[in-house]
Parts: sequence; C-alpha cells; structure tokens
Amino acid sequence: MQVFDLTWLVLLLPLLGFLIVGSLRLSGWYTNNEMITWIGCGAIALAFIFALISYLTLVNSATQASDSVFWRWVQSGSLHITFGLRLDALSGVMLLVVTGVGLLIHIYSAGYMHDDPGYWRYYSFLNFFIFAMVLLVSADNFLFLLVGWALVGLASYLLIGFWYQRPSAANAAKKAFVVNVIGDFGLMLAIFLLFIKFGTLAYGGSSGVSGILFTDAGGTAAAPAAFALNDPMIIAITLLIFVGCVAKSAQLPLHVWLPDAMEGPTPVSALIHAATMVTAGVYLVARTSNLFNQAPASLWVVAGIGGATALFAATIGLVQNDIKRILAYSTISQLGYMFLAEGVGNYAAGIFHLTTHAYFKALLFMCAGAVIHALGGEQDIRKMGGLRQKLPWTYWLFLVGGLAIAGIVPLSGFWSKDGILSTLLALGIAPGGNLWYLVLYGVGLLTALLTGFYIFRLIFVVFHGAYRGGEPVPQPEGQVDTRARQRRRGDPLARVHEAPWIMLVPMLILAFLSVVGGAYGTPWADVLGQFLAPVLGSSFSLEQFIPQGGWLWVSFGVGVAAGLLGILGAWWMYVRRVPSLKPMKNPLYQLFLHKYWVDELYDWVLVKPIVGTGRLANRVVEGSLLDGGGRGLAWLVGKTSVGFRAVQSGYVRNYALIFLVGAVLILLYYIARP
Amino acid sequence: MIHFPLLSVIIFLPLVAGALVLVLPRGWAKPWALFWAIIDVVLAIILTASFDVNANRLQFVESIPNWIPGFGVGYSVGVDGISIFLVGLTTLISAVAIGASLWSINTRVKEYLALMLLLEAGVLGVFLATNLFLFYVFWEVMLIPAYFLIGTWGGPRRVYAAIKFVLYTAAGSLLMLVGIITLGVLHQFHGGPHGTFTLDLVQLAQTPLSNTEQIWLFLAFFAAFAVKVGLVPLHSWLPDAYTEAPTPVTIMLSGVMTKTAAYGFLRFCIGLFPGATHTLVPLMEILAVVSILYGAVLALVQSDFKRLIAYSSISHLGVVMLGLFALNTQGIEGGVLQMVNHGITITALFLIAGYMELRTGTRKIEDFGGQALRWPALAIVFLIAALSSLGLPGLNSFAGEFVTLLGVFRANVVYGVLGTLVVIPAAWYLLRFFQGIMQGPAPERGPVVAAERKGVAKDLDLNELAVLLPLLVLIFVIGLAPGQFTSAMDRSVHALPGVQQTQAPPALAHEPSRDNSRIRPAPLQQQVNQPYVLVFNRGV
Amino acid sequence: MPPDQPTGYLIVSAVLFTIGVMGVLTRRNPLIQFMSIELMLNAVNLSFITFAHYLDSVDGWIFTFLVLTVAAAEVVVGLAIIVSIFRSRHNIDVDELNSMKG
Repeated sequence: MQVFDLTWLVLLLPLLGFLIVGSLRLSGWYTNNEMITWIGCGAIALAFIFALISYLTLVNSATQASDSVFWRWVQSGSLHITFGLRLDALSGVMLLVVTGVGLLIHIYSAGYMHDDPGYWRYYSFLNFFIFAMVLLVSADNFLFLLVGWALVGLASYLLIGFWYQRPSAANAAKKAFVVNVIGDFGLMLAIFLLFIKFGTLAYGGSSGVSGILFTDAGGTAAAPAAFALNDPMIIAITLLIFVGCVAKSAQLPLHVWLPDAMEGPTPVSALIHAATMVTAGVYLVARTSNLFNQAPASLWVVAGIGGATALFAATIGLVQNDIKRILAYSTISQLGYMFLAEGVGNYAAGIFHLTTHAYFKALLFMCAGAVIHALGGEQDIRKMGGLRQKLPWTYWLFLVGGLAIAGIVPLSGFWSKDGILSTLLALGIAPGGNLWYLVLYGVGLLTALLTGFYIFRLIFVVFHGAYRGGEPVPQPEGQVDTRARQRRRGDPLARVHEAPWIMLVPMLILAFLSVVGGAYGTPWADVLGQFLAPVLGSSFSLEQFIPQGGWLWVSFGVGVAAGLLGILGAWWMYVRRVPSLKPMKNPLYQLFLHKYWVDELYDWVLVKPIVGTGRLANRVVEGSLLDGGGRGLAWLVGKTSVGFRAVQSGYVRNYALIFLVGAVLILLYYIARP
Repeated sequence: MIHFPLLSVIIFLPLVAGALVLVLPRGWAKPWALFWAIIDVVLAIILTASFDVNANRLQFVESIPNWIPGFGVGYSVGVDGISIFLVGLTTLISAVAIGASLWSINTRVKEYLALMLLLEAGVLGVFLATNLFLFYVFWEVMLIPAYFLIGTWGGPRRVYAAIKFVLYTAAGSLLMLVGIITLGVLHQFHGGPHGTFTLDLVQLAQTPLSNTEQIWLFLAFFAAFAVKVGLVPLHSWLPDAYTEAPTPVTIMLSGVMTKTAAYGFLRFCIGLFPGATHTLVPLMEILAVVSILYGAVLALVQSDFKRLIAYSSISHLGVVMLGLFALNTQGIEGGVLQMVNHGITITALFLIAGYMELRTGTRKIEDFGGQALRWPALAIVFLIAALSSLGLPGLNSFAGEFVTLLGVFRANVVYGVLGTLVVIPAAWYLLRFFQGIMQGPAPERGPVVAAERKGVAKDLDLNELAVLLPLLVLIFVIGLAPGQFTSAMDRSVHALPGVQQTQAPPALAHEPSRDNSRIRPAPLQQQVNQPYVLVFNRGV
Repeated sequence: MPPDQPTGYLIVSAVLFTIGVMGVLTRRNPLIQFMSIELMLNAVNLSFITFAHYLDSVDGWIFTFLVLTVAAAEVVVGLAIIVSIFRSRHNIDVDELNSMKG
C-alpha cells in the first residue's frame, strides 16, 4: 500500500485556523464565538483526520518513512538547509497524540472558555500551538526541529500569559520563555556541533549523502556510526541536546517554569503543559536515539536526571495545595519517568508512557478544570471537599485518571509504567547487571508509591469529606476576586453544577483511552514497540528488556503494590482520619512545601547578581567611567585653553598687529639667515 | 561604454531632492521628500532585480579615474553582492524614517527633510564608493546632517548628545583619514621609482604591505568603524544619541549608519589588511563578545525604553562583528544578512517606541502597563518586532544569527558559545520590555493615564501601520527564505579563479576542516574594467 | 625714461605700505581701515610692476591685475558686511565688534 503522506496538510490547517481566527477579529469583522469555535475546532479536526489517514497508510505499507521537501531555506557555503516534512513511525504517533488530544481539548475549551472576552485570541493561539507542535514532530531536519521547538515555546508563552493583566501570569509567561530559551541555547550549540561533525542537519540522507540519523530518505537504515562509542564529540552533542530537553520537559534543574505555567487557562495546562509540548524532550531523545546509543555516558545522565526528577517532583506534589500545581508536579514526575526509560535505552517504553500519560494527565487536568469551573475559579484544595455529590461525572472520571496514573492494573498507566519498571528490573538482575539499575528501579517504585499517594490525596480532599469553602462566585478563571466571595446561609454549593456536555464528552473519550490505551503496549503484544522499532534504533533488542518468566509477574505485583500502598496511605490520612490540611512544622514537609527553595536559590544566585551587575555597570561604567571620563577630558581641554583664549581678544586690530609682527619676524628670519 | 548611471542616480537623487525641498512651499515638503525617498527605493529594487548574482565582481561600475588628477582621486562607484542589500536596506529605512516624520516633526520641516535626505545620500555613497577619497567624503557627509538633526530636533539633552556624537565619531574618522593617506603614500613607496599615489581600492589592495604596516593601518580604520558601530568601550555616545534624537533620526542612526561601520570593517579592514586581520582576530572577537554580553546586561536594567533598545543594538551588532571576524563563509554571509535584519528589526522597534512616546510623552517602562487592552494592534506589531529582535526561529533575525553563529562556532568554539549566549538575556530584556508596556495591571495615575483622558492615547492608525508594514513583511520573508539573500552574496564573499570550489561531502572526519573555511584574500588581478574584487577562498 | 635702478619705486612702495599698515592698526573706523588696506595692496602692485619692468617679465603684470580684481571683490564684500553691521547695530566701531572674543 502506498503511503498517503498528508503531513503538510496537518501542518497547514492549524496555521490557517490561527490566521483566519486572528485576522477575522482584528480586521473588525463581526465574528461570534460560535464561528470561532467552528473554525478553530474544525481546523484541528481536519488535521486529525489527515494525520490518521497518513498514519494508517504508513502502518499498512512496506515503506517506513516518507519525506517531502518543500523549499531551500538557506544556502551558505556548505550549509544547505531545506524545509521538509518527514512522516515515519515516531512522527506518526506523535502527530496522532498532538492532533487527537489537541482536538479534544479544543472542544472542551468551547465550554470552558465560553465567557472569556479573549475567546478569539485563545483559539487562535491554541491553533498556533498545534501548528508549532506539528512542525516540531514532523520536521525532517534539526533546524526546523529548532524552529518548531521555539515556536511551541512562543505558543506556551502566549497562552500562559493569556490573562496578561495579572502580573503573576505575565511573570510566569516570561519565566517560561526565558527558561526555555536556555534550552534553545543548548540545542543550538548541539546543532552547530552536528553540522561540524556531519556537514548536514538532515535526519535522513538524500542522493548518496548520509543523513545524521538515517542513511537514506526512507529511514530504513540507521546512519553508519560516525562516532566511535563514547567519542567526546558525541557525548557533547547528546548532552547539549539533552539540555534542550531538560528545559522543554521541565526536568531538574530547569523545572521551575512549569508549576508557574499553571497561571494559564486549565485546558492549556492540559494540552501544552501535560500532554504534548512538555513531552517534546522525550520525543527528541527518542528521535536522536541513534546518537544516544553511541554515548552511554549521556544515557546515564538522562536516566539519572529522569529518575531524580521523578522522585523530586513527586515529593513536592505530596504537599501542594493548589489543584493545578499538584498536577503540574505530577507531570514533571511522570516526564522524569519517561526519561528514565529512555536513559536505560528503552525508548519505546518512554514513547509508550508518553502516549498513555497524554490521555490520563489531560483527563486529570480537564477534571480539575471542571472543578475549578464549577467553583468559580477556586484552585485551593483546602477550600474544597465533598464535591462527589455535586460533580458525580467529574468525580468518576477523576477516579479513572487517578487509578491510571497510579498504575493500577489493567489501566493504561499500569502497562506503560510497568514497561519502564520491568526494564529497570531486567537490566538490574541480568547477569553482570549494573547495580545502579536496581537503584533506579527503587527510585521508580518509590515514585510510583508517592504518585498513588498524592493523586489520591487530591481526590479524597476534593471530592470526599465536607465542603470547606465559601459560596463560589461564578467568575471566569482569570479574574478571581476573593473579596466578592462571601459565605451565605444555607448550602453554599446550591448553585454548583456539573460541567456541560461539551466539556464532559472529551473527558469521557479520554477516560476511555486511559482505560484501554495500554492494550497496544503489553509485554505479550507490543504493537507500538514493534512499530517504532525501525526509528528507535535497532542496536538494542526489545526482548532483552522484558524479564523472563516469573520476574515479569514479580514486576507486575510490586508495581501495583506500590501504587496501592500509596492510595492506601492517602485513604488513611485523608478519609479514615479527619484530614489535616494545616501546615506542619516537620522540616521535610517545609522542604517539600517550599519546593526545595529552588526558585529562591536561582533568584539569589542568578537573577539578582545579573541584574545587580547591570545596575552597577549602568551607574559606574556608563555613568562615572565613560561619561565621566569624557566629561573629564572635555574639562581638561577647557582648562588648558584658558591661556590661549587671551589671544582671541576679539579686536580686529589686535589680530592685524599679531599678523604684522608675525610677518616681520618671518622676514627677519630670512634676512638674518646666513 | 556609456550606460545609465544607476548608482550615481541612487546616490544623488536624495541629495538633489533635499536641496530642492528648501525652495518648495512648506506644505509640499513632506510629500515631496517621501515621494523621492520612495522613488529611490524603487531604483534600489530595480538595481537588485538587474543584479547578476552569478558575477563575482563589482557591477554597475561608473568610473571617472582622474577626477582630481595627481592625488589619485577618482570618482568610482560600484556594487557587489554584499553592498547591494545594504543599499536596498538604506533606501527602505530612509523612506520609512521620512514616513515616520510625517506626523512627528513639525518644526523647521524643510531644513529637517533636507538634512535627512542628505544623510541618506551620505550613507548610500559610503556603501557604493570604491575610491577611498570618495568613501571618506561620504563618510563625513553622514556626520554633519546627523549632528544637526540630533542637536536641533532632539530631546532635552540634545546638545550634549549631539556634541558627544560628533566628538566621538570625528576623532575616529580623523584617524581613519590619517590611515587613508598613509596607505596611499605606502602604495607609492612600495611601488618603487614608478610608484604613484592612488586611493583606488583595486590598486591599493595590491600593495605589498608588511605586517606591522598592516596592523597600524588596521587600527587607524578600526578607530573610525569601532566608534560608529558602537563596540564597547567606544559606545558611550550611542545610548545618548539614540535616546535624544527624534525617532526618525534614531532610526537612521541605528538602522543604517551603524551598518556603514560594519560594512567598513568587512570591505576595508578585512579586505585590505588580511595579515593584520589574521593577527587581530582575537582582539576583535573579544571586543565583540564583550559588546554582546555587556550590552545585554545593561539593556536588562534600563527603564527608559529607547535606551533599552540602544543597548540591545550594541549587543546585536556585537553578533554581526563576531560573524564578520569569524572569517568564513557562514560567518560573513550571516553577518551581512544580520546587518540587514538588525536594520529592519531595530527600525521597527524604534518606530513602535516612537509611537508610544508620541502618544504618552513618556519613555519610562514603569509608567505603562496592560496597554494590550487599549492598543491591541500596537501590541501585536510590538510583539512581532520584539520576537524578531530576540531571534525567534522563523523570523528574520534567527536566520541571520543562526548562520552567523554557526560560522563563529566553526572558527572558534569559545567565541561561538559566548556569542550564542546572547539569546538568553535578549529574551529576558525584550520580554521584560513587552511585559512592562503591554501586560500587567494598568497604571492608576501618571502620564499614560493623562494621555488617555485627553484622548490622544489611541491605537495604531492606518498611516502608522503603513509605515511599519514593509518592515513586518520583510521580517517574515527573510525569516522564511533567507537563502535568497545568502546565495546572492555567495559569489562576492568567496570564490574564484584559481581557488578550487569544493563540493561539500559530509565531513565525517574527526577534525572539522576549519582551515579550508578560513577566508584568505587571494591575489587580486589588475583588470582594466574590473575595479575591485574581494577574492576569498571558498569555505567548505 | 625710468631710471636704471628700481630703488626709488621700491622706497615709494614701502612708504605706501607702511602708511597702510599704520592706518589699519590705528584707525577704528572700518571704512578708513579699508582704504588703508587698498593702500597696502596698491603698494604691492607698485612693487610688482617695478620688478616686472626691471626683470623684463610679464608675471608681475598678471599678478597686478589679479590683485586689482581681488581687491575689487573684497571691497564689495567688505562694504556689504559693513553696511549690514551698521544696519543691525547702528555702530561700526571695530572695537565694539568683539562677539567672537574667546
């Protein structure tokens, strides 16, 4: 079967949607919200259909990749860069996730953002994001990867700062952008090195020239190892690539922007800051797996950072009180999981977890959005409670998402998480296995336990017990005015309703996917893994990751037990006993609550010194040294010239006399000369 | 061969129009000046369209070899792949600047417009002259109108700024004059008994200078160019001049005049003194890196937004310098492309800054806040300009910066890394700028509120948008297809007889082939009708 | 017939020149100063012609004409300046014109 490569349409449609929605409104034409919804969602729906067609034809064909080149972007000396799109297994999967989850969130937003005056702006930005993300995952060379990489950052900036009049939102947006630019910096350096090493930036080769990742455009064969194993050059390249991934995927130590990014509208958090954009780093490591496989040292860094981040973020998630921030730290933690998988060489497991995480985390965010929506913008879980009766649908959907992320069998999260944990276990117990794999396995298990705890703490505190807040004032999320919130007599939740169907339907679809989404990645039928194998490097055989016989069941059992233990702990603390939400004196609690003081550290170590240097330079170097120096020179010249000034008396006859004397002296000189 | 003297027409059209504007009725002056500025743009477009990208020598050459006989002074102009885009940029930016003057300048309009057009003529002459004497004349022609424009139509500290500007630049250009004369004399001296004094570039390029002589001459030219391009620590005049000058003049200073200096570095310092260039590369690169980082850090702490843009300009021009002195194909082509980009972007930023100042009468970022609500159109164009300036991929500056920094990185990893670092503070200060004006809560009192009460703080109107529009279009066009620009430069930047053109195979060798990409001016051949060719070894 | 030696002419020329110099230096009225300058120029012209005659060269004649022309132009410009100064200040005493004083 022929591959029906419609990637260009998938790319073009969201761009058109962005332009049409934006220009219709800006040109002052009358557009009502309904029209914007249809254009915005329609563009993504069509994009999803085209992505699906491309994907299905690719699955059913013998070809493994299709590459279409559009125009030459730049040529300078030996630097040739073209703009082209590549469709292969990896980008196909990513396209489906991006447009699919994107579509659901577009639909959900029609309900969520209904009353916002910036509705048109919201939809144009959201379309722009899908465009940028599609460009990122389907670019066929590193330069346009970087373009997409930065454009998703821009979309993220625009959407985090959507309620731009709130200083906190504007600050969060700026912070997200600047931190991401640090990643862009790393990625740019990596690209320079790649060009120096390979003389090209294309993934796949063409006309006899090898690409960086694949020898031919079809992408069947991995590029010949241009590097010896552990070549310092390739370690540098992969580490610099990983700098970009760390920033984009909010890993240690550049994770600080993601929790703040929750200032954006909740659907945005679901789409960009949970399901798609932040997974770009995971995608990139998988995309460059051919390079990472040649640099085991870099893989250890990936695994180490991933494991550390998974645990680190989970501990912070334990004690946060903002519903969205808990989910944000959960996202960081799960992304760490994905990097953990990739760091030990099982890229397919990382991508698998990426897809399932997209389902259940988007679902969780949407449920959180439904809660926030119902409570008129309230995000503090201490002011919630007992919402089970009022929001039954949301409750059950939240529960599904919670079970999936906690890794309870047989939901999707179980399969993808077990794929990672069993890999670690297998590598650890294999003959001659490295002890560090077992350490990482322990970290993974502990994180699974903590995940179960924090997500069910959230569920229990929000949906169980008694309601602790005041009467919600119906207000869009962006403009919470706490002064207007006053307790009334009677049931404060009398006017609270379940979310409208337009929000519930996408949630239901995602819940369905969260339940069954693991089916294509079980150890017995690893459809996804097989499909991705040609792209993700064949130097490691997938079979070696799956523990033999009994070990598989051990891995299953221990994984589920960890999740259940966490859930049980949460039940014990927040249902069995009266939940205590007061801050504790416990130093560990304080450490988690203040997020390890990383923000404060950066402020003191980086921001303040740089700004201080600037202020100092502005005053001392610019003011005193250079300007003052110039003035000083002028003063010196002025003083010196005082003597000469006397000569310029202003009397013409004085000048004439001086002239005459001069002439006479010259004459005398010639006469007196021997 | 007699042909239509297109280049001379392009240079002298603004001059003549500027002289005639003085005798016109006051009401006609602005449309008249704008009309001729636009005609000059059209001529530049015609020039670009008929430019042969496959020729590797100067084109449209006009030459009167014995203009002032006995002093080696000839009138000769010509254009190559490097200067052609700068000519186009100059005419465009000048038209934009004059367009921006339509509503912002209302005193002594005729004199103002005459000086603006004179300035334009001076800059064009600098880019097109191929005789050092002619070059120097145009170089000084730029200075005089700029002085009067800052000193007469500027802000409260205009006189101080104007004098500082003139003293700095004049000190530099006088040293260059010494260098020019010395070069002519040395040419005569090295020519032996038959040596002649000349200032023609072709002949000067063949002077067999010793390394010491080259270094002294390089430094003499350096003085003029480094001041004008605003290399730290010779930049002190720049923030004052940019801030005090009226916006259209600031645009001329930042958009085109700084480019003359960067162009001078490329054409004269690198073109005439390859040996000295080779020796002094570390000096130049270190100064460039210092400018990049110093300008960026200072831009971070400014509260006057014109001053902020001025420091950002120092920082971004550092990238251009870094690229030119990487001395390889990507570095130079990227650097020249980045000159064009910087001209476009900084003009857009200053225009927007000017619009905001005109509306509210203040330039303090703290006085603003949340203006995106009232100025949606202005917010969008501002965001595009800011993103372009911070090098967002997909827009023009990214293309230039990427190619430039790649070249720098190939030449020297340390400078490459330090230069690439510019993207981080650039994002920081530009977003701080944008946030301060457009986002956050609206101010409750102050000049902005007062302007709103008076009803003068309106959103962008169509005229203002029309002035910005060509810049916005170019921001996207260059961002999407920078290849059109770099490939037109290719022939002028490298290549040619006697130098083998290596088709690049994927360099899989362990050591990057850096030596091949070093540019070394090859011996210039004397040809009767081929005035001046920069011949470079083709980079891999 | 002129004498064989130019001494007489040159003495006359020198005397005229000195009178001119003294006039310029001592008088405050610019008109008188102008006349003195003319005197100096003509003294020089006399020398030129004298030497031209005795050296049998045409250069001196040419220079004399040049000086005459320049002197005429100078008078025109100078008188114009004096008139315009008088119009604006109602006073043409050169000692009062010291706005260029350093």
